[in-house]
Amino acid sequence: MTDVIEFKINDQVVKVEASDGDMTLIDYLHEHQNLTGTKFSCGIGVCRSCTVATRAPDSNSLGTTLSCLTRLFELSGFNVYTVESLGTEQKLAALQKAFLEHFSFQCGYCAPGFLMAAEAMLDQIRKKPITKEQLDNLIEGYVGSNLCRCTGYVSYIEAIREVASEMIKNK
Amino acid sequence: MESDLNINRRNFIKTLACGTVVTLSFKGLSVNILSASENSRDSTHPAWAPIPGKANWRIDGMAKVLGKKIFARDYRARDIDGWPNTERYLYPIRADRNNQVITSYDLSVLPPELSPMVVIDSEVIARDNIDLAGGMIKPFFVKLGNTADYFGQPIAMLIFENFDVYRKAKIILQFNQQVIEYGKVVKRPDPKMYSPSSAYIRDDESGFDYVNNNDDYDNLYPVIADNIEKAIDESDWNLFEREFKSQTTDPVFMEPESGLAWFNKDDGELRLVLGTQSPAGDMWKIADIFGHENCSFKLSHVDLMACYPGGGFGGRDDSYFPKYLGLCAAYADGPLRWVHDRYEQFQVGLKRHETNFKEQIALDNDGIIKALKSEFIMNGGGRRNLSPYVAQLSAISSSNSYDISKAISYAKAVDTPDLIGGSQRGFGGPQAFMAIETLLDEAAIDLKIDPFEIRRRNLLDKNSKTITGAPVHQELQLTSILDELEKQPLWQNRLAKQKIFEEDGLNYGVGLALTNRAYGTEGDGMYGGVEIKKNGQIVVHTPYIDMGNGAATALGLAPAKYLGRNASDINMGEVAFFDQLDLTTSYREISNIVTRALTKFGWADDDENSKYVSHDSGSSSACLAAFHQFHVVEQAGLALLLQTILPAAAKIWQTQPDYNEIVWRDGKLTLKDYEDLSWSVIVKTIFEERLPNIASVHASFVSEFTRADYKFTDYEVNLPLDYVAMGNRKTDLTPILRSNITYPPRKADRYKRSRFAPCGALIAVSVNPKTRQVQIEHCISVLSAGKQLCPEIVKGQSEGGVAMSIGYVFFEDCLNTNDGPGNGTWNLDQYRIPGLSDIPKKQNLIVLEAPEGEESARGIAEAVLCPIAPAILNALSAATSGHRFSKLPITEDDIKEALS
Repeated sequence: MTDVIEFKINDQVVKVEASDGDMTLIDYLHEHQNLTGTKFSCGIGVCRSCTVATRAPDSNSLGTTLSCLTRLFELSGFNVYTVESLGTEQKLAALQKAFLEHFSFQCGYCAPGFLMAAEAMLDQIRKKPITKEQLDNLIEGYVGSNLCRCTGYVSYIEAIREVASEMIKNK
Repeated sequence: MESDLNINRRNFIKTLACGTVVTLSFKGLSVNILSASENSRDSTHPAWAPIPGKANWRIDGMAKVLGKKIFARDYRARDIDGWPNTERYLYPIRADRNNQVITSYDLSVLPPELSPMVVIDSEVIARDNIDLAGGMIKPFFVKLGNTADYFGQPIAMLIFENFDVYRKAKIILQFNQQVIEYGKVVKRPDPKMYSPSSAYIRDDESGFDYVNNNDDYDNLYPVIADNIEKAIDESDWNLFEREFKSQTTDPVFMEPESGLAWFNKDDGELRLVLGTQSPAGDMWKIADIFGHENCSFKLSHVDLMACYPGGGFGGRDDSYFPKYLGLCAAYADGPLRWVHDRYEQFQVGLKRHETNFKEQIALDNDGIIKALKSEFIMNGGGRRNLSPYVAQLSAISSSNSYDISKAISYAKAVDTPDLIGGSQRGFGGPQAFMAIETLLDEAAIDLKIDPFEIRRRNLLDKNSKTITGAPVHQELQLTSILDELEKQPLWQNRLAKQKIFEEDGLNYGVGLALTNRAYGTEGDGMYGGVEIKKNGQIVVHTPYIDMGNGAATALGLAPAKYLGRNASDINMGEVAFFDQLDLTTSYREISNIVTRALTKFGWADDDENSKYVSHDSGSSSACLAAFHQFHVVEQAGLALLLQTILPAAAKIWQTQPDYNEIVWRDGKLTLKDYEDLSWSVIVKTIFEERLPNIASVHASFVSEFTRADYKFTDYEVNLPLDYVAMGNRKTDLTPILRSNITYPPRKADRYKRSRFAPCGALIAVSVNPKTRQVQIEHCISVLSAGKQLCPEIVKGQSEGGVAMSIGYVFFEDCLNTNDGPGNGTWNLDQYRIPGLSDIPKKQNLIVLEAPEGEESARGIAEAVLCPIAPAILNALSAATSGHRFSKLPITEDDIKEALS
């Protein structure tokens, strides 16, 4: 076993001492990387506010990872993407723009989790196109378990559907 | 939601019990801090809202969608200018049961390298002469040898050196049954009442009610209540009565409470970073902790940076988290960070009260409600908090949308060792509406009167009065709501639909509920400020907090009416900006004029009372934004128009315009026969002429606004404000001379509530008799919102209210036993809140056109939630052959019983 865990966060290589391998990814993002866009809420993987997108070493697809449950030693070779990787104010990602324009969130605390889960979904559609009819099930599969207390989910789903539909249409 | 705070903000200086003077200051997060480049993008119209009065997205949306630091949990000491970079971490040892004596606690489970630097417990704070925070009755810590006053009361609080030590120590301490040693089991104490209790008795026959019997109300009401009861007993009215019970629920705002505090012993300054709904109250109360003359810690100043709360729903209104953080900061040698996890939040976060209530309505054969009797008893848990006032609003809401000539309503909150109750979205309304709307539904069926018709026969109108005897000032649109709902196919086709569902083996029912939720409190004060920057941007200043309800966005739109553009930035939680106005709610009696009522007859301010306003601003409740807070920001815009914009325009036009004749068009100020003035030209003139670019105003509202005449340089106008100050520097604003102050009638102080946002709902449910699963199929809400400020936010509030109500009816239940969340082991795996699959696939919100002449918005954040639960209960009754559900939450076993 090596004494360093190496992985990437938003395409930047990070190295962590193996003795810190039991630290959760969210704690590492917050305390050691000052990346606080990923949110802690339940800490047991139920609410999914802490969702980040990840690319496994042997995969070219994005998946979702619950950063409150994932320990650093599980991330060797992974690339982790947080909300900070998406867009900038000058050039928002399509999902960020749609979330804004649909007034998808209210307090906004759960928004990064929805964004990153939906971003992984878009990556899947890019890699493996689906039909319009399959879209709602796919959305439910990716963000259906993310919890939000302020909204009734409707505007989140509308925004994600809009961006995904556009992608499907252009395929 | 309301607060019992009555802070005299004069100079915003607090004198502690020991006589020491402490200063308090605030800083709110501005949107521009969060989204710095917003400034440079467009100096005339902000990107979030380029069209006056319309938002393209939430003003705080950009920061939130980019994951910027915005919540208290995001901040570390290193993020804040002037703070040391290192921080200590706080972790409490909490009582996980409420029925056993605590004999000791033992930290030897921690290896030496994980030992806390400091341990704070009852002995330590007694040694250091620490006082209770303002409003607290029970001690901070459980004293060894005693039982806890409530679930989760701390026994000790531990300060750890850094995050890594804290993280590892917490893993060992949390859930560890070896840490606290318990002794004998004790008998549960008899519940005591938290003061005050409420009693509202109205009897039109004898002309008795709360408003009109001020002098002898307390002596007379028991007799009148007896008479009403006798009338009910002796009548041949049809009686419908039921006992109800609703459960304790958690607000589950998504960001567990978090904060930073630094008590700098060198200068005695306590600095706090918090996400709170009550920043002023928190600081005021925290200062009391250090008020003892022999306190070991010398406090000179408290400063609070108020962050955007990650949800609130009332649960951050007068929370105890800030008080404990402020206390423990004194024991740390630098910045102290405290972050609840979800287990801790469930254990001690403020809850919606477990409520036992019973109600009786008496109707004649025509369906007229002749009498109402109700009683609400709320389990306040181990701290008083706002519980008596939540109970009070249940009593006030008990008659709902109906004009009931004989009414009795009692309410109280009781002191128990249970989970702490407090302000929650709806603030007592959900319980009250559940009772009367389900009983009325039952009555309609029994009396064979259509449920719409029975409601129509009893509605409040402008000639009627509420249970307190207060007149109805608004066009409530109750009839319009019923008309709109009744014509919906969901209602018209319900029986046919029922047959279709039956073919699939499912039960089906549609339920109706109508609610009349008040917004605002019995008397509200509010501040608003608007600033024009040299670059042309408009900045709104407000002490109010946006907890996700869209207040920041709404207030950002408020300058549009008079300034022709929306704000680029809003500074929320900014109390200091207004405190320096030096206003007071203490009226000085002078010469022969001894009552403020005399001022109604018109006199200019005397020097001594020129800073008097009748009501101070309280905590941030969701229902105060749209009407109250929006008003003052809009009026601050008007002050700038009169004292700044028009004089600048007059300089350019070389004529003094009539302010009724100017129009903002395409961002330009226009006046017939004169050249259109661009904003940049006006702003340039404002700064060249050194015209005031900042306006700060205050208003008081008790059923109507206090009004006064204001003498601006070129204009004299009567405004619904009780203070206006303007200038070029925030710290040096000059008051605009006011005269002829007109206060609301004294009687209005007893109205209790005077503004309402009625909302009705139809809910369709299906019930699977085999699985006992209930699905909400369709929800249609009709809302009287006045003039909508931002329809997208109203829609979002409504959808959120539907989801929250579904959880309230079916899932959410915090047990007040040692097996409940008070034991510190509950999380979202045990406490289910509604997810995507739980919400209806079909949802519609119909917002009525504002009544003619109504130019303001109504506070709807709580209103949209209120009819949902009773409509679900009525739908379930329709789907289960008339079974009445009176206890929440409804379980699968309850469904089984109903179907058997």
